[in-house]
Amino acid sequence: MSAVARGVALLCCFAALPAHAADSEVVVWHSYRAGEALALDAAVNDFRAQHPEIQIRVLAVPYGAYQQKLIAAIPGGHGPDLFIAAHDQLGDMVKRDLIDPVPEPLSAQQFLDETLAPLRGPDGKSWGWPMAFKTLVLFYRTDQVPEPPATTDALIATAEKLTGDGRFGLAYPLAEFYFHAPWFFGAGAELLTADANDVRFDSPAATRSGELLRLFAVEKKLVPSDANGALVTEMFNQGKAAMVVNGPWFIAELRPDLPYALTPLPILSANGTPAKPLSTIEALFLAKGRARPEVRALATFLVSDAGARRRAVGAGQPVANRALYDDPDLQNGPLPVFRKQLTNTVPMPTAPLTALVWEPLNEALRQIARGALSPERAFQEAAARVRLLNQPLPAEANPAPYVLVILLALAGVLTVALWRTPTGLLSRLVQARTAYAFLLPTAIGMTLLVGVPFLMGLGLGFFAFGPGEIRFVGFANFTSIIAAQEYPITHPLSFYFTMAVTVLWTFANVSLHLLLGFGLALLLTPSWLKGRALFRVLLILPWTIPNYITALIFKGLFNTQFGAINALLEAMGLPPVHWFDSFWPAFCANLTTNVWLGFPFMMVTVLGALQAIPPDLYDAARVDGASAIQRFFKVTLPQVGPALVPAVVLGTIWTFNMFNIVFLVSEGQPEGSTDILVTEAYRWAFVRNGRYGYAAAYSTIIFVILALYTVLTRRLLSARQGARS
Amino acid sequence: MATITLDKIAKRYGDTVVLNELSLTINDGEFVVLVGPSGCGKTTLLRMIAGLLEPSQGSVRIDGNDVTQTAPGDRDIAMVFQSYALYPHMSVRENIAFPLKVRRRDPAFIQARVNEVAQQLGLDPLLDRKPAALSGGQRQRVAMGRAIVREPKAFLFDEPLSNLDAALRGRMRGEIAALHRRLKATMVYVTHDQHEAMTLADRLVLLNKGTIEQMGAPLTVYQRPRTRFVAEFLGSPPMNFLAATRNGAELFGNGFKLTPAADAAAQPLPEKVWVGVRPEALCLSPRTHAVEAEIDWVERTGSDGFLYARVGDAPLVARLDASQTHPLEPGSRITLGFDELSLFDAESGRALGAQS
Repeated sequence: MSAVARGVALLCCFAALPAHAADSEVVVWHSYRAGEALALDAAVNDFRAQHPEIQIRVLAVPYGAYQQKLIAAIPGGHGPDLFIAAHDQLGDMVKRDLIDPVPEPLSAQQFLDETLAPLRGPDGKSWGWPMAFKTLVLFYRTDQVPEPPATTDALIATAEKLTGDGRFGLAYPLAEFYFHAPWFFGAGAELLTADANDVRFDSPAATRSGELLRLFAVEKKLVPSDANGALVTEMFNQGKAAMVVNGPWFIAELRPDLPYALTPLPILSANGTPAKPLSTIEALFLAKGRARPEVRALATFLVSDAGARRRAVGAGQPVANRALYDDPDLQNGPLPVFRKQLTNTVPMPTAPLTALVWEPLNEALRQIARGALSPERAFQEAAARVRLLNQPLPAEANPAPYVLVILLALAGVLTVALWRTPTGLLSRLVQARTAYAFLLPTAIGMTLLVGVPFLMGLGLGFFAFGPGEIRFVGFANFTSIIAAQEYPITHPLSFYFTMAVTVLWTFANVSLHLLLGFGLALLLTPSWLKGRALFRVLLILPWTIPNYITALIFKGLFNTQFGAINALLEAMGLPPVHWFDSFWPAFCANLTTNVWLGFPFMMVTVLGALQAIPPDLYDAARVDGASAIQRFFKVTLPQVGPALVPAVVLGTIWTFNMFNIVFLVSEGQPEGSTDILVTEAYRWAFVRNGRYGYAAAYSTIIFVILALYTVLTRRLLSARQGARS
Repeated sequence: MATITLDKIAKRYGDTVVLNELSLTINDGEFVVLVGPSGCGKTTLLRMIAGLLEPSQGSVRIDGNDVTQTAPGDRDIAMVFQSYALYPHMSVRENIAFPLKVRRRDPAFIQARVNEVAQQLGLDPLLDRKPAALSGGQRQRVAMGRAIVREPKAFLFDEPLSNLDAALRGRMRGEIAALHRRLKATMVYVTHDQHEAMTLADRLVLLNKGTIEQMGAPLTVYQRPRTRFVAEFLGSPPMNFLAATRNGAELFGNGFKLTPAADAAAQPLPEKVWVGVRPEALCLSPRTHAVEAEIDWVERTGSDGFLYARVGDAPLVARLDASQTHPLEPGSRITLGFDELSLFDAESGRALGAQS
């Protein structure tokens, strides 16, 4: 049964794959881009020069679907012989039986210990060749910071001097745990318990790291509270941020002439321990059963000092090979700083539970950074949330009754269809074959692009996905969503809370679209208005711009520290609004964006309907003695109304599912309370440990709600029209 | 009931003059038909009486009160539109009740009035229908009901019958005439159809290019057109015109010679004139006057026969009894006689005294 379920689920999730590699050929997959990809190619070419008899194919696979492609390709005998991946996927890959251990022991003389350890299994075997590592260090502007700070106290003192006038002493994305990790682990906190079955960040040590964040963001305001990665880069380039916590990839984003240097992260003054960022080891993995001599030869070469030198020199990669750090060519570059930092790092954890901790931790950091919660409370709530999300998978259900019901339903439909089909159907089909031939391409397209994914999504809702496990659970996902027993109804994770937000969101949007669209259409109708055509075009423009672009622009406008809206408020002497710190401002920010996007559609619809009203009707009403207001309510509105109904139905469905705006503008903040049903479904699938089944059930419920809504409006309308005629 | 006075009223759009300082008094209870070709300004005039258009100059008075600046709804007049302008989303009942409803009249009164009007117009069985479910004639009657229901001082009709087929148009013409007899209300009726103008009007006002060309009782205007334009506009087929040159007491044209009656000579005729002859005045035997004509073709409509001929180069139509046209063939030459003729100054188009 489990195998069947797995087959179905895989079919649902993953696209077709590249063809099988010929045995003589060595296939390497990676997701590198730009400099790193070129450096890898150069290393491979070096090997080709030495071994012209070996065919090698290097394939850059986009990062987005990398892991899924590996999971799907390797067991089927497609896919790579060797591939580069981060060590935190190791546990999953071993569990899925995707890789073999490295056939020969790896030398501790050749590789740094810190890069070997995370790749070692419990049995002491190495499961991959270490290639490079990624971790965070402190970047600083040498024109502003004369002496890099060695402790957090020094960091604060230096930053204080450089903060003010729109400039900040320190910058990093405050609400991303990856960037908070140095303080977290430096303070002695731990993510998970020793058995990795529970979280451990409701601890005094975690609280201490939170206090430091509070000091940075709330008390001293040394760090911009609303900065994402792109903004940090821009600020550092412009000299608006003197120090930045960032990784090796940051170097490529800096202006070439920028006066800057790197230094290891400072020592925490509170306990005298160095800050410990997370480290990720990039390793070369051997796909299951591919340990042919030429494959091993290529692997050995790529991780050799010569191969590593290509990557270190060509792409500035902090490589795993000890020898490179004694290389005089690289002495003055950034690599030694990363090497020094590596000794004070915590390897990226690999336990399945970690996939669930990031979203709650980020939320906790956001709360601390805006002073809404004490660090202690914030971490406690995050821990509680992880425990809430870490539900065991529902019990496996017996698929037999479900299959039976489906078969019976199919049989029933077929029987009815046959019974109701008039005789001579075949001859009629043959008669109309030209018509059907023309319809066929569309029918095939619709079936493949709409019908099949729809049925797959429907089916997916009956499965549960655990780490490395898929099981059939029947209606368990649906009942869990509808019953909503795990969370109180006021909790943003509760289906009913999200549903209420979605309904409010839809109602507020459609009402404002209608009001604004109608008002503007009325303004644009009088024939005496000069430049009517121009105004019409201008007002339709918001509709013509892709909505995610508009969403990103509005996201920027609503930025607390750098956004135009708060700048305007401040210019008028009003206090700035923290748009995404509480529900109503965040909701209004989303609403504003979507109203901007949505009113042109209503305006165009109303304009069309207004133009269809014969002017005689207005003349007749004037002669009959109707006032302007009476003419609007007794002539205009009843005439425009019928044209508006389909627009309102459509607008409701679009708004109900307006993923882009909520996802990009408020991002669900605060605490996921502004999420609507679709964004919530997305988070279940892609943020909360891949609960695809649960997310699919969510989607099915959304579909049912909208289908009911559509049927209901149609019923109501036809009833009303029936009463009228 | 009301007297409507238009005083030197004009409507201009930029340089385009639609109505040019026109004055007209419509008496209490009178049925005045404004008639004229497209673009003559008749609808503009009507809309200014209704208040839907503001005159560029001049004033509109109803019963002596200046209403030039009064809103249409406050003038106590009703209007029937060419398109009927029924409110499509309202039933017949609601349509008829609308003018009373917007005036917030008592619901019981409204209901009684609507029923009364519906009965008068034979609309009782249709009261709950929507306009879309009515025939053209029924819609026309609803539009009239909506006008009648509030017993206005005056009714304005803007080509109310032009969207109906010929048979229905005749019947509705009769109904409007009956309505006028019953209500004795002041009515101003715009049409381009001379049948409606001739049959309905107490007084006919013929407009041309924004001015009154001629007005008076329909028959008088028909029989004594003051200009060639009027003579041409009224009558179907229109009056025939033959160019002629005066020589002494005689008129010479291309292929004919006429001697107008002696009293015409009392007034000196200009040198060049148009000789106007109504098609029904022509017959196949020589009369007081006669012209030689060549037949182009013959149309027979049952009772009437229309003879299309040429006198010299000038076309000529004669309306005869259908039986008389049987021996006539295209290409043959005949003599057409007539007693009555009208003379018009070839330059100004004005009618000249002699009319026999």
